[in-house]
Amino acid sequence: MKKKKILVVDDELDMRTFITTLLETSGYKPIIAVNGEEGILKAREKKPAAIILDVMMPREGGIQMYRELKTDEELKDIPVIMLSAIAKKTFFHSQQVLNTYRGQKVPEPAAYIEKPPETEELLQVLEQCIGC
Amino acid sequence: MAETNLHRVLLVDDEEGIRKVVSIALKDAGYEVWTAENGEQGLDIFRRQQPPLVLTDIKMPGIDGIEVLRRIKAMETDSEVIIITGHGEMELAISALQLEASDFITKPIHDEALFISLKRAEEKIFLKRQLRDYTENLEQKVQEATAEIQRISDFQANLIDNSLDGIVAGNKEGEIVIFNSSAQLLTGYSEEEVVDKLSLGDIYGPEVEEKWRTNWCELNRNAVEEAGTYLDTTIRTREGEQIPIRLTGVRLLQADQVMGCVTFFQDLRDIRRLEKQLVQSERMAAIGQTSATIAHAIKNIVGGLKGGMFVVNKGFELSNQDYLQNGWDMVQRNVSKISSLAMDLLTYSKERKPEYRLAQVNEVAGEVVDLMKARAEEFKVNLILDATDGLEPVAMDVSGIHQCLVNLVSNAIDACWPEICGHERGQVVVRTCRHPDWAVCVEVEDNGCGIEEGDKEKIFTTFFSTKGADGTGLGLMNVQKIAREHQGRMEVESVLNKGSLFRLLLPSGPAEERQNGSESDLRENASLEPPSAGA
Repeated sequence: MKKKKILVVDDELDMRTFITTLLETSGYKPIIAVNGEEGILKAREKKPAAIILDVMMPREGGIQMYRELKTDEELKDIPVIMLSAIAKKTFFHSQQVLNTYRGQKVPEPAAYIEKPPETEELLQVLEQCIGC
Repeated sequence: MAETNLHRVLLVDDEEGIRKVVSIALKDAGYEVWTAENGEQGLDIFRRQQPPLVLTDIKMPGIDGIEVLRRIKAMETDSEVIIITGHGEMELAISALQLEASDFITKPIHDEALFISLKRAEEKIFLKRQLRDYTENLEQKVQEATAEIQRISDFQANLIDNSLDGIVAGNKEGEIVIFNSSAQLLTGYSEEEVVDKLSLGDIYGPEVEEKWRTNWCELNRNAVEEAGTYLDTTIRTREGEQIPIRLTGVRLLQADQVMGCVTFFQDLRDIRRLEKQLVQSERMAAIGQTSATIAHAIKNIVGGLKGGMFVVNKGFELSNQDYLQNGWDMVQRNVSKISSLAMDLLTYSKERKPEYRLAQVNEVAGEVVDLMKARAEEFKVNLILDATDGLEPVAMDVSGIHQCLVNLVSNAIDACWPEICGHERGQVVVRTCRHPDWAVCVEVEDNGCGIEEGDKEKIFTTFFSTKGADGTGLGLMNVQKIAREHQGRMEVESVLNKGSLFRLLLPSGPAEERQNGSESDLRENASLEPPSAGA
């Protein structure tokens, strides 16, 4: 069976190294992007089964990339796991504010994991997302 | 006091006809009149009635008019005596005037002359009485004013003596004339030991003596007083100790003549101690407030370490050399992160005593470039030293400046990270150069990501970091702190996506001066504008 491609978007080298190792050793094929721009390009090009997205990145950041993904016909069905040092509550609140502000309804991410991620939790969440 | 009604007349004449005619005229004019036919009778009536006006004939049997005049004047009343003279009695009239007769009228008596004379006499009495009242009043006023002056003088003496400020006044020769309690308390001198014995120069240092010579003494009468300026200097105690004080002084003028000067001073030791405490407590508060931030930074590092351990374990499990290498790199990076966090915190929280010595900035810059070469290479950044030869050595705390430059260079390298900036290869230049206003200028320039306009003001403040989990937010804060300790200045220029330039400017000056300058540092920080961070 062909390995499922998972896109990892994170500006931090440590986090990328950790997640790619975790994915590789758990039977996935990680694809790396270091910022949102690159993330969108790779998502379009590689059609990953899921995206693990860091919220806090320089410039555009993960929140902007998430909204782009969800408003793109081609990409909106790819499950996204948000990964962030920001507390889950804060993140969802910011999403609601942005929804109201921009007048667009963006669905909530498939999962939200606070940094630093636990290996078991991340794998479990990922399986659930791809499975559904 | 004699009765105030002046319209009362005693008429003394031995001729009955005159007594009759004149008293009728007087009564008609509203006077109360007593008559006497000789001097004795006249004096008797005078004693009883005390009339203010007396008309007396000069030639009378027994006591004559001159004698009546003499006796009335001897009684020290303010009554006026008008002499009535016959023809050819001019000699007598003149001697009467010498005896302070008010006037004389000649027989035959004309009413007009009589009344003019009476009127004049009344005016004289009136003026005399007024003068007496006025004099009495004046004496009372003088007494009151003297009491008031005494009171004010006591009050001012009290004020001077009880002032918390030391007050020392000098005469125009610079000799001390006032030395108040606070001054006595502080210096240990008693008033007797100082007043009229010592000069301003004896207890203050040469700086104040100079000030006295240029501004406060007679020599320079036209010196313009700089209002509100103060001088931080010292005062010498009886035991010879020098105590730091803040001093103001003014020249005392009286009708454009310099009469001396007065100086006021405050003991700066308490203020200095409080300032020091304040700085320390601000430092502690900054750390306290942000312990959450630190915990967060540590949490991230722990995350990195755990991740690294995971990757290393996978490497062992699968005998995968790449995993081993990557995981081990992660562990190393995070260990160095936590050690630099600890170092930054230590530097900031500890009151480090800078040690100043004359040094060449080129040497320090060279060492830093050598030290950072490996890290630059790791991040694919060209690190270049561009040193200007022949710069003057300046007094600096070498390890502080070293730390400053390490911080700036490592920031510059971070800013050039290719993954953030999209450069193939970043470049960081450490440049030493001359500057028109400062002794030495060190620049650290990169072609990295630059600083957002809104962030420029924040970069030198506590725990602000644009590096997310990678930064402690303490680096530039320490840089700023060290620059200030050197009485130097930090400048930053930056264009987003083009690069940044951090410039450290240091003043010259002998090392000794800076050595005991830590106190003046505090003063600078407390009273002057802070050096602008983002200029």
